[in-house]
Amino acid sequence: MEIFGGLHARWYDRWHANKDYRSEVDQLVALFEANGPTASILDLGCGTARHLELLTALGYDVVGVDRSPGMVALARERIPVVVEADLLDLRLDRTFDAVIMMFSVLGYLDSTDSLLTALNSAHRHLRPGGLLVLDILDGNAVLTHGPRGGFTATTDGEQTLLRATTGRVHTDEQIYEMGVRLWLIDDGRLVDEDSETHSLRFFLPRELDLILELAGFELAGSAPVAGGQPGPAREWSRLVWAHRT
Amino acid sequence: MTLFGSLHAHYYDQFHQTKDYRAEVEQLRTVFHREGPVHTLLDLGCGTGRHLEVLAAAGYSVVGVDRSSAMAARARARLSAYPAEVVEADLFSVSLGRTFDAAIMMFSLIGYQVTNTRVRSTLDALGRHVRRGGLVLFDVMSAAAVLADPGPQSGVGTFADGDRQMLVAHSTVVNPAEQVIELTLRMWETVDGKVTDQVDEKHVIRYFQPLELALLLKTAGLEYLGSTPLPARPPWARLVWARRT
Repeated sequence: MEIFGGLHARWYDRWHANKDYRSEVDQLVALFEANGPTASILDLGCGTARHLELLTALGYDVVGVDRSPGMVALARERIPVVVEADLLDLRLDRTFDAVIMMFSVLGYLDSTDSLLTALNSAHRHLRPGGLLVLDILDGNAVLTHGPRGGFTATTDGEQTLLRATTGRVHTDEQIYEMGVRLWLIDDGRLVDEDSETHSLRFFLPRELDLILELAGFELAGSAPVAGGQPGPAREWSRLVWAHRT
Repeated sequence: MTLFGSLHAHYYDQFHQTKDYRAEVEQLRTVFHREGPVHTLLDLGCGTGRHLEVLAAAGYSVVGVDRSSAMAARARARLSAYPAEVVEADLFSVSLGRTFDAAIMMFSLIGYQVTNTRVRSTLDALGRHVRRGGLVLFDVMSAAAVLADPGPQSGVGTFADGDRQMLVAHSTVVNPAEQVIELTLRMWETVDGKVTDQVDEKHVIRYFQPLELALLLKTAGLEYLGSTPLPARPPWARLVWARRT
């Protein structure tokens, strides 16, 4: 599955330029500090390592993991240690004080079994009592509001990327399906277009509690993701944190 | 918890007179035919035995369990014409020393358990009473249905029994943080305009998503097979069925 390919990967950072990584990292750091001494952080599904770049600057010892070669290449320009691997069968033979899985990494997994496998991977890379922080699409929000579409135009010099999204809610599969269409305009000409579909699982609070418990974690809290970026995938996301038991 | 005490039990059938037991039992039988064979069946939390009455009349060999002596007494009276048995016992601790082809638990009893621990104990109790390959059927509040129309709902009903009158006011509020609906009932019984009894009840009922139920069932050694809406108003309840593996 290469959901972040081609045009998307090349523009990923540009259209997430507005995304408030700083607010999210502030929120993460507040959780780390509340959980006691935290020096080392593993990011499972690190993407282009925007969170880790800021955490490195704050003095944390960080490792990023992503299975997309394109993302890993971009991440290596930002931080020294990035491992190209599938997080499901990752074995780094070391543990960290905290593991983060941001931007709905968990929700992209397509079955409860692979979700538990991913959490088992986080578990074996955390010290006892270590902190797991992840964000998920909140089922209460999705099911209350229903699908939502949107449109953005991002300009960078002579180039403008148009991005249109559509939404569908699959209640039986617990999937919010977001269709994305992209058009690249360069110097007044349409030069590229692309489309992709993101299928994100949404969760209810007690359901998440159950999943975490079965994977050896104890749910400690949740809050809206800081920053307030527009779009259903962010507005309806919650940050969730849990302790390794 | 003194839910379903004597005042409620006395008016229970009138209060639920619009509930279509026959249609619900037809749904149960459709599943029995498709996934059975089912000849013997157990109803955990049988209430006044309305489902069992229809099932016994259709030729099934039935046993009901309820922990409320008022409910059990009414169920026993209702089933007196059939070779049926009603046991007054707590469903968590009841031990009947036999297994059945199917076990049912209706009226959102699973949802009343709210926490994962109690829901899992309840599913364990259901699974314990069916043979290997046997069926477990129950109804739950569907998250998708509840959250699609989560506004507060309220109403008043009046029921008469000879010279006694019962006034029931109800209101429903969705509490997404707790993943429950909160149903408040206020009941007044009057005789010749004089209030002879007054009872307030609060029912807290969890709602579920399909993958969430499948995981809960799996922890109890049960395999989720399917679900379908119950013929109820509002259309929040779904019948769920699973097989003991």
